[in-house]
Amino acid sequence: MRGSEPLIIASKELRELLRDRRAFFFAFILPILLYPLVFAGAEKIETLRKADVGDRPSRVALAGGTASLIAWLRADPDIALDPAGPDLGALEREEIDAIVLAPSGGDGEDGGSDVRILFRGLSRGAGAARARIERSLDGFRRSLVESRFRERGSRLDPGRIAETSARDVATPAARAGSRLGGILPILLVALLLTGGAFVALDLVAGEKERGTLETLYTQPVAAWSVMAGKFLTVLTVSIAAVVLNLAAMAASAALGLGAAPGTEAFRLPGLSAIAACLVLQIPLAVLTSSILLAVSACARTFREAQMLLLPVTLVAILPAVLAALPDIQLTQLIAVLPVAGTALAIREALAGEVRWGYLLVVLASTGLYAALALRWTAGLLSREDLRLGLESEPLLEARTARARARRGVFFGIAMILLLSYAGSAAQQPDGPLGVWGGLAVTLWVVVLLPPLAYARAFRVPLKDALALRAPRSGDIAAAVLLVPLAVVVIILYMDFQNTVLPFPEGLRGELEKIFGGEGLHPALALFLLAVSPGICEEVLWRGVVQGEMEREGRPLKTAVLIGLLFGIFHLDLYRLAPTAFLGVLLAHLRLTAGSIVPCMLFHALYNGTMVLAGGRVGTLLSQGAEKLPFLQPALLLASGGMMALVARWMWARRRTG
Amino acid sequence: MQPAITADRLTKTFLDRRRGPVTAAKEISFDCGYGEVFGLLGTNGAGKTTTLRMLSTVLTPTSGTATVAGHDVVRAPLLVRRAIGFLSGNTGLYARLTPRETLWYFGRLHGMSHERLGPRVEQVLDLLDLRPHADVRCERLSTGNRQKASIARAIVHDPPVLILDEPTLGLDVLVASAMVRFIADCRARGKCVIFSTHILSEVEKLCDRIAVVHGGEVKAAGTIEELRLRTGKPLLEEVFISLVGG
Repeated sequence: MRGSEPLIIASKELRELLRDRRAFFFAFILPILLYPLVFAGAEKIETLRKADVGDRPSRVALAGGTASLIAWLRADPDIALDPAGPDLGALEREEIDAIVLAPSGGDGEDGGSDVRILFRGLSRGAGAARARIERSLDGFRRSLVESRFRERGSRLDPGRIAETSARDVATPAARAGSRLGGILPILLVALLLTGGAFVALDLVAGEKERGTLETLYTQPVAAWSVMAGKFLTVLTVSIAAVVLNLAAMAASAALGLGAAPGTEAFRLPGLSAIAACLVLQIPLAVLTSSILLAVSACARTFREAQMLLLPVTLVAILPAVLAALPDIQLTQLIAVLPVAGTALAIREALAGEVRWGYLLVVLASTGLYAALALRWTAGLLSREDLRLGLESEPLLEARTARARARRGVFFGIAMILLLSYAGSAAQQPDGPLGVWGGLAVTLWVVVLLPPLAYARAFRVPLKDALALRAPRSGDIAAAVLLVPLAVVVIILYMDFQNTVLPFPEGLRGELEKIFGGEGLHPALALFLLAVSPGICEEVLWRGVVQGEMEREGRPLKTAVLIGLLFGIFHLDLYRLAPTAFLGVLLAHLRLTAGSIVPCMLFHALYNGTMVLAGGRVGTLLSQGAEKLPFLQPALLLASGGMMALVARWMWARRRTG
Repeated sequence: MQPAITADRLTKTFLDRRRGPVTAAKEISFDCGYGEVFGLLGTNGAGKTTTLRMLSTVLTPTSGTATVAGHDVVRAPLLVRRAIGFLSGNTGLYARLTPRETLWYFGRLHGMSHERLGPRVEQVLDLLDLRPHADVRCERLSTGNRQKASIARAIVHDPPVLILDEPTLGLDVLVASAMVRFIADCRARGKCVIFSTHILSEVEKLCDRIAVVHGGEVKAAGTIEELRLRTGKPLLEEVFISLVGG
């Protein structure tokens, strides 16, 4: 890649953009014209509203009321009592602004009775009328209390009753900065996205449609250069749009446009705040420009890109909304969140509070996200299917394989959820099925049927999905050999785990009951606790789920994920690690043998060992080496080493066979 | 002398969402030398464009190999692109640039210096009779002049190999005739020209050798005379129909 290539591309793109009158007008001219017009319009409307409502007394109809109250309201210059009396129709027609319903009676009965104010919230002047009436009634109440105190000769001076008062000690500049900081980040993200959107969409999706992207990709220019050139263009336009928009807004406000009489004047933030905002804006602009280009690269047409852009814009703006919530402060966690960190840092900067540590974290994390987004975009643009709107076989195959692997994992997660509800409910000791009946139903119905239904629903050939193939004798021998080794390794591991996560006594007793097959004939216990899980759980995990995952062609990921899901499936924190380990081992067996049969054999034999150990399982798992002092670390090493050798031998056979 | 283009069992498979795998080009093999015009003759959808796109590195072959000007299309795509001028119905022009600006832009992307590029741009404008329209934006040019600007764009760096995909498609008789003269002129200047078409008269006028492509496969390749002898048909149209089994 020649260093000048991106600049050549970017300068051509900008030249074209400047010649596109429509794009130029919307990106640069419109903001300059729009803000003064909008600000002046808003000012005019506010002035008219105030002139309409603020300068005339509120028209109020009074129903009831004492003579003193009527006199008080009449004396209020902001209230004009309507002689026509209370009429809801007049309120609807906006002939009056409010109705006051007051109890009638002598002056001695004043106070303590409720006064109701009726107003039509949608009407102009209703709010002002309500506020004036409330203020006037407060005054009336106060004067009434004062006069009564005087009449009774009380020494208490109601004028000295403590009143609450509040004063904001923040400087006007900080207040203005904080207010601006609540809005500006949202505006900034919106402007960066909308300012660069047209260019980004046109430069990739538009060029795909017009065929000029194909022209560019027949030139001796690296994909990175093309991406960098287009990115520079989008970045320049985005920043220019933001600067122009903000400058137009600031100029309009500084000229006094938009500030209605009596409101606090606009204050331009300090230089350090402006500088901090500009510095923060640059990585944010890099991030939004990359996102825009990625959206454009994903789409085949300009129209498709527009459709993709809307949800992306909403998702990108959402974190900036945090800046509008005063209770949310910039923390270490928020600082590394894309967009949110920048939004809150800008708010702080505008309020005159710059915390350099956080600022650096925000800059670094946003820069990192921007770099990742750029790298992703470059990857997208180097894909021929996206560049030309084509479908290439390997890509689609990979996509299909990935989709199936994902689907398999989601199915596994759904099965865990199903087991946690249905399985637990079925195995209640006091339930209709009892523990053993519930276990049988759980295994043969809840665990076995869904994978079979899955295979049918998604038309996955059952033989392939389950890897129902006759195993080689070597694989059978390996599966049998691995059982005692796995038992030893797990017992020794549990010994270690008990030092950091002690096995609860209750669980130990429960396991001893289960594996002891309490009340069951030994043969039935073996069938229910060893053979049934060996078939049903293997059909689910090493069958359908692993079958889907194997299509992705990533054996290590498959084995680890299957193991982890298998561990979680047993819904037992204390046995999570050993069952996950067994899950990985079983996944490895299927991967190497290409058949589910050795997995079933291993699983049944392993569980059978536990059943045969009977009531000692809990003890083995909870106290391990403590109860069996002959188990030494050397045994762990020997067993682990032998397992590794067997696993490696099987893997080598898989590659050669 | 090494051939300008060699294609050895070039294959490209796409996976259509509805139809499944579709092999657009299947084990296409041929070669083409400098000073030669080679024609890919076939109906719409025969696989001509896919083959030319693989040669111009726009598409990566699913299998097979190809070299252009001695460079492998997969391993050295930038060197291949430096050596080719590629033009197809899909390659567009920048609407808001003039032909002169377009030539400068693409010349600079090819790494040409200002000293070399200036005279070359004027030379190409003269060669294609584009000088009167050199400073008119491409969006305002007629179809013929736009095609000329596209050709100018493809040859501004004076490539030894020209890959032209249906270069006369949609052109009027005069412009198409000028295009045919241009291709003949390129051959005379020792360039290798490979072009696809389904217009038989152009093939007869221009091509030293042809490959008849149908259903993604090369049905026959050789000189027109060789194909006539092979099929026993006197007219090229009959030769073509006989080879594609129409």
